[in-house]
Amino acid sequence: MFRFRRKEKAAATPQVKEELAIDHDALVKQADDLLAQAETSSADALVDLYNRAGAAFDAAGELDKAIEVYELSFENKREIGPASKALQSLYNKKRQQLAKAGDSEGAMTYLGKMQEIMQVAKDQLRGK
Amino acid sequence: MTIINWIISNVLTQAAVVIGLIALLGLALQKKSVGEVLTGTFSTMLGFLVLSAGSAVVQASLTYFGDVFNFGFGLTGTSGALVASIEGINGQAMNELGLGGSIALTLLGIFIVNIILARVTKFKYVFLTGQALLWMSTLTVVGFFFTGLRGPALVIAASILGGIFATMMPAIAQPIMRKIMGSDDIALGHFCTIGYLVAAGVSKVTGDVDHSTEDVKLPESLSFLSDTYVSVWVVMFIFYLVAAIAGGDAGYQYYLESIGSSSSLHWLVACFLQSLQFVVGLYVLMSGVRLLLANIVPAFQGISMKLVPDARPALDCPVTFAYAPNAVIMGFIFTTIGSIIGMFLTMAIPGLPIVIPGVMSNFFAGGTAGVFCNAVGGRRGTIIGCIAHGIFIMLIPAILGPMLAQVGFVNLTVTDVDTALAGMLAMLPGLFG
Repeated sequence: MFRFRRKEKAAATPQVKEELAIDHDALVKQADDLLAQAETSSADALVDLYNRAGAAFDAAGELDKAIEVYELSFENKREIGPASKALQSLYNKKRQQLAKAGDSEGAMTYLGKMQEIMQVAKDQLRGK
Repeated sequence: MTIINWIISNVLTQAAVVIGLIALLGLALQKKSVGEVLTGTFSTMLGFLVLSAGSAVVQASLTYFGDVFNFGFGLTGTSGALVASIEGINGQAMNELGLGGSIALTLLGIFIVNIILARVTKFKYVFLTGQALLWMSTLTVVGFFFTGLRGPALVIAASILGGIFATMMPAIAQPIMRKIMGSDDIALGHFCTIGYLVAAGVSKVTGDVDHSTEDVKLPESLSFLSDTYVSVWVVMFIFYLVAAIAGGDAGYQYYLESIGSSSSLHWLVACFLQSLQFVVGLYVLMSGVRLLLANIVPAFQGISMKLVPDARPALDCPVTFAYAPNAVIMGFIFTTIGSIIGMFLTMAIPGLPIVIPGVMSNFFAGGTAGVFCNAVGGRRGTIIGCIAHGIFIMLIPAILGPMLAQVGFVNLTVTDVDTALAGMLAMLPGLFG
């Protein structure tokens, strides 16, 4: 009985991996398509396209690409919104990765970026 | 022995030197260059001296306010008016009360205890808000000083209590932080957590989480808060004016006699200038605090990330603002309303001093309380919870006020309720001993 279960588990793993890879590839393609649309879009639509592309990269686990795209969105619209919230969380994930890898200078850089986002939120709410 | 005595009386009791040594240690541990270590150490010491200068200006202004207010309303000693200002408390404690060295060492001690607790317990939170740690170290030192502790025992006890608060306050806020942020990877590092939980409790019971503050159309910002010091001056001038009108010229002359001075200035002009002086003193004091912490806090942050890389960073309260900006505005408005009600309550309750609310404290603490309340009780819960929050954050400092006056604080009480409660806990043995 246990051997039967072990076989089932062993058989499931490559399939699960394949499904995850398809999801990842689909999400990355979705993000790339959105970025391609952004190249020819109007200023109004740009931020929304960047945010959707950033969300797709984030869901695909592409942390650095997600950060890059959300930063483009934030540059275009420097205020509280989906980009600032996402960047706060992504910067923290990046900070944690670097801290665990022993790169404390890199970790401090991302902590600094999180504090910049917090300052923008403070300034906006105080009308600065 | 002579050398040890020399070190104790010329180094370890001199707050500016102790703070400089802490900065030097932090910079050296980060392997900064000799130039950076020297510059950082010097600027930290300079920060302490700037803080002291600002504190002296604030205290002079508060002496005017206290004398004229008490004269005008026939009040005495501990039943008079207290200005709620944690910055002013820190300035007086470090400077006039001579606790600067102990506070600086406790700041380091709280950081060490927090790191140890984050490493060995399941509460993996590292408190990274430098100013808040400075306020906590101030109140724990003041509390244990009231109890009678001195020297290393004072610093150790204050560090342990402060370190426990630095670890546990983010932990108890985290269930609601998870609701606010939709994730578990960032914590709250702001010592008003108990107030937020009280507000959230009231909000949960009275509110409706299905109707959020973010569904309401509100102004995008509170532009009158765009200049911090102008906002503080507007509020302080109102209270200074009330005191001046109540005291009149006789009140002003009473104040001049108490400081052994004389002046031909009209009492209304004196009121205006003194209110400006309070804000100037606060500006200088806060410049000193920022300079003082500028080299120490990055050292703490860098070392904590090396020692506890998987801990959640407990960050300052604006980390929540992006998730419910309307709740921040409503939180400020209704906490201010609550704090005005609280101020009148402190006038009505016998034995309590009158507490003047702080504008900036109401913005940051009130705004964050709004975000907490909205997460569990929607807009109705935010309104009712934040009014309750405003009353709470006035009553706790009012209760602590007389004890602070016994220690030697002049016309001041605290704002951040966690620091107030830590101070009260530290004072308990002194009350019953």
